[in-house]
Amino acid sequence: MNSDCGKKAQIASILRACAGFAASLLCGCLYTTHHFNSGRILEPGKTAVTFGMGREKLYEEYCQDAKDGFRNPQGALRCKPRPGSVSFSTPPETTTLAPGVRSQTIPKFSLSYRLGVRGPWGPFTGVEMGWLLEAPTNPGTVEFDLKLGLPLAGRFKARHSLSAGWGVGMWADNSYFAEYAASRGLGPHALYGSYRYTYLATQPAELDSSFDNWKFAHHRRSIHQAALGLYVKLPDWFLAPDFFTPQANFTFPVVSPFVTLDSDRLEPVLVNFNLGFGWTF
Amino acid sequence: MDFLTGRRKAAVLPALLAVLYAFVPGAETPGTEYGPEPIYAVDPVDSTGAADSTGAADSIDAADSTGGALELQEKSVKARGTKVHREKEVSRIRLSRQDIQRVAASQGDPLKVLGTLPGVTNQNDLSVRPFVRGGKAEETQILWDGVPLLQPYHFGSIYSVFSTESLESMTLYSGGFPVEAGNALSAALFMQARPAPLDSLRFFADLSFLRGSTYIGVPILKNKVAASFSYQAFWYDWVVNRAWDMADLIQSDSSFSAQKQDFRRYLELPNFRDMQFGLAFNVNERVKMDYSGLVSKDGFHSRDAKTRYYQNGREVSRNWFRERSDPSAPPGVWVQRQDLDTVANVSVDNQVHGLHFHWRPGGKWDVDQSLAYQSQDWHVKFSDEETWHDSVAPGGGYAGYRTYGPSVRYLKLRKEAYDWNLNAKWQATEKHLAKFGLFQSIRGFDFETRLERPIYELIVNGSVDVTDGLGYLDPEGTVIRQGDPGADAGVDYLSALPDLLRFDYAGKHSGSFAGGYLSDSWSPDDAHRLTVGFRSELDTWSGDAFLSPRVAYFQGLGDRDEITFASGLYSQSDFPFNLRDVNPDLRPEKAFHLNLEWTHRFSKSYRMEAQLYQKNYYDLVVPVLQNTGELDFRNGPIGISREEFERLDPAIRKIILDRFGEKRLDYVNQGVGKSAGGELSFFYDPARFWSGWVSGEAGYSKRRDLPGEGTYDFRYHRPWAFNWVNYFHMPSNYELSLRGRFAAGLPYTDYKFPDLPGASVGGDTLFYLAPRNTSRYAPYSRWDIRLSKEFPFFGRPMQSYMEIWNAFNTPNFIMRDQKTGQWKFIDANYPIPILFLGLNYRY
Repeated sequence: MNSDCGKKAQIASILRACAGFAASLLCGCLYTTHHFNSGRILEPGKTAVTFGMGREKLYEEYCQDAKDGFRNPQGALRCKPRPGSVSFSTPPETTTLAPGVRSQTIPKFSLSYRLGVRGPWGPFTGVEMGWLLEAPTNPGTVEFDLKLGLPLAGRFKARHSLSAGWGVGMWADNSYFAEYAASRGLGPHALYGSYRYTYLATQPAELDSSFDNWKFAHHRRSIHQAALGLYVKLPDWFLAPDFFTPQANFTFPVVSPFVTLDSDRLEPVLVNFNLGFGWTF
Repeated sequence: MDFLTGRRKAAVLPALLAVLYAFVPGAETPGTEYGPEPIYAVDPVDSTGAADSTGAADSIDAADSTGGALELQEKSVKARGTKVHREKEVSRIRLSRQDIQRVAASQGDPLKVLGTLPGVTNQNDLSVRPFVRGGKAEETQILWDGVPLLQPYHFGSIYSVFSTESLESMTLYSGGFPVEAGNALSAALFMQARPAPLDSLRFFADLSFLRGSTYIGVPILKNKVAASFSYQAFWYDWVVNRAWDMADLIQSDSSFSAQKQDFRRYLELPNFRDMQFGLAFNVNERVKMDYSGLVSKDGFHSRDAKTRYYQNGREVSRNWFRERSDPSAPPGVWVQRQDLDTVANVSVDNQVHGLHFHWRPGGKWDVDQSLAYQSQDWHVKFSDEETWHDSVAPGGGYAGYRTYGPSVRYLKLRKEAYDWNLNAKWQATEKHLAKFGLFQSIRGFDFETRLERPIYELIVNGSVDVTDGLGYLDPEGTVIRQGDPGADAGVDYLSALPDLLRFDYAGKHSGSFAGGYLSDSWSPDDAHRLTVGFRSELDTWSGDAFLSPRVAYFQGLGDRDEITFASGLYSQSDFPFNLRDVNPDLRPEKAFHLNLEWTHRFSKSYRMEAQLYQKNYYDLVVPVLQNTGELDFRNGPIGISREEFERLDPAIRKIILDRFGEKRLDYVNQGVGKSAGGELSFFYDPARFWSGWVSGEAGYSKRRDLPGEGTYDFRYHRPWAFNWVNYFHMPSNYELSLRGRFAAGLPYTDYKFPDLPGASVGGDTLFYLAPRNTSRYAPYSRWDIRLSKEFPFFGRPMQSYMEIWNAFNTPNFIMRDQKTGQWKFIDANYPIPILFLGLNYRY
């Protein structure tokens, strides 16, 4: 006779192993913040590789003042006063407290690759595609996008573009985003800004409840992001980067990458300061 | 890069620009818009017949360099009329080697491209077995240089035995095929080996994370004798292990590390080796000979943890250890240790050798003859049965011993085939082309199998979905309740019920297929063509001969349109060995095909195919469950012991046996079925840097096994599907390929099992099984991307490429119910986005 939980355990084990594997393959699902998008389009066949660095603020729930934490049936963290004697039973919800939220800031890095696909095409001044890898975002996020250069009269000395893409989510759904970026030329340099709307994927922490119900649970959010940066063209030094770009990125509302937290318990706007540098080929 | 500048104002919708662009006469994009980069000359539209809209038909000589006897372009009959009329065949799509190479995620296996074509579906991402237009996988006959193959797949049908580089072209007839194309019920797939080059050296090597392959073709006597050799081997197991290492590094979790170690200890992933040889000999201008050989080998090893017990260093039985071990004894006296035990060893050897003669006695004759031998050996061994016989030594020590019984499960199977065929074409008059041929195939099977059917399906066909087996048990569904005789709440019915179906066969049998065909293509004028043919086939197992008449009518409607009507009766009797073993008298299965097609060429660069089809099946071989009278008290779905069973009332015992007894499948010719649908395909090639095809299809496929039973959906048919394959050559020699598929889910037999979360089973129900195939999985979607960059290396093109399979991370591997979203099981689909990198070099 077979074990009553054999098949269940086997399938759940496979699913969880795949989930772990997927997580290691950059399915963090969180939005990215390294948006070094100047609204300019690469010429066909030209590529740009950009390394980015910055700092990421991470949030964590915790039980303070000598309280023990436990997960309630809904998976949320609750705190109970640390008893004098050991008790293995789950206390009633009414006697527990909500945990506090604390944060720490850690370094974050990114790598992007962009390729000019076509020159002027219909009303567009060019077509560009690319991908961005950013980590840590539990643990990383990968995005793909296609960018179309928009027409603008030459006298404005400006470029602008519209791009759309997706960020790989963990099974339940993906993130989808649209971004508008514009820049004003300052000689070989440029001042740029962008706005991105993201329909964010269900986060991995929220996917856990799917395993309990054997059905995908969706928790989508709308995220707005704005960036302001400077593109600085560097002289043609051997092996040195061709450009660098300091940038500030603003995100609203904030979503915690590691635990499921309501946004009203976090700061209203997250500000990231990033620096990118790269080469064009 | 500004080649479209002058037309910008006309392009309100950029996506439509290129389409409009192609309708402007003479507006084809010049080939120099990106400078001097090489842009390939052949494209999918060309290969399916759109390259030359004005030229005369190819001569036999010209066509012969790229086609076998079947593909010869007839000089007179088809030289007449418009290009669309000349080249039209019923439900045919031909892909060249280059077309296949351009499709993302093909992994060097041409059969992995088949799923992008209209009417074709696969069971899962890993299996390459094609199911065409609602037919079984066996209903598609795969021919290699005209020789029907026994089973051209590796272990689990994960890959075919073909390598793209050693292939010249692949032609799929998805219905209504002519008499010379064989006698399958649903489709014929012609794989044409790449001929050894007679003029100059060819070399190709490819190395990716998955596999390495190489091809070399050498002229030995220029324009006279040439040889070729190709080899491919998979080394993805090494890559998978490195992926585990990387994941382990990121996770930094001891439990994850333990999983990694277990994976490495217990599983040796399937591995394959393929070699292909070719020899070409131009005897003279009229006679050509060639040999092609294919040898492949599979290996797979699975292990599992096993606890072994020791007393003073000597291995003892588990019972002995449990009863006598003393925890207070000094360390080392009583020891139990985790060890490894073999679960399965799989070895498959496959070889095909073909010798072909091509003789052109004169301008009106073309004769082709093939001799072939092929064999396939499956050796699958599982862990042995181990029995301990305990006894006590005079000193009180252990004096027991163990014996090994034969494996509970095993699979030994040898298939052999000797084939001969003769094909001739005769240009009788300018308006008539006659084709006739004779063939014989002698086949032998030697087998000894004992295993559960789901295991056989997993090993041979790559089917991992247990709901497939559930469908066989009770077509009307069933409910197992607490209190039913033999039922038990502790039984895992989900896996135990499908395991009731046995795959136990032993013996050998052989037989022969022989027959011939005759057809005539009549072109009374430039716009009409009528092909009438007969094919007769006899198999010595049943002794039945069957005549397959076929007719196809092609009518050109102006320069751009062609209407085609085709009908025929098809039969097939090359059944799997186990069917003949239980019923040698099985008659051939039959299908009546009706095809109506419209081809419209918008311009030189765009072609549309609208196809309607209907297949009526009869005399289908269907399984009938037979009780073996055996109950598996150890692993079966029964909650009582043998002793308890023996004490039961005979009537109750019969109920238990009928329900939970092991079953074998008998086979009878009583099934009927119907499959019908429509396909709309659009092939485009607006510029030399852009090509592809897009298709949509809708249809149904129903079966009824026995008279009086209800009909059900065929298990491997998707009622609708959408495919898109796009190739884009970019500046600086970048290439971008996209491949997308969005399709309805497959039907399945639903179940409810209280042990699984989310199951709404209440009361005393232990397991609920719905009627066969009455539910459907959620739609499937997958998008793959390939980006490559070509650069010169010692003056020759080297290409690096990156692919992402399942780029949207669609959870196709979790089979979800279409309506409820409930997870039902898993299948062998890509669970995550898979990154694939490689490098190739061509000389």
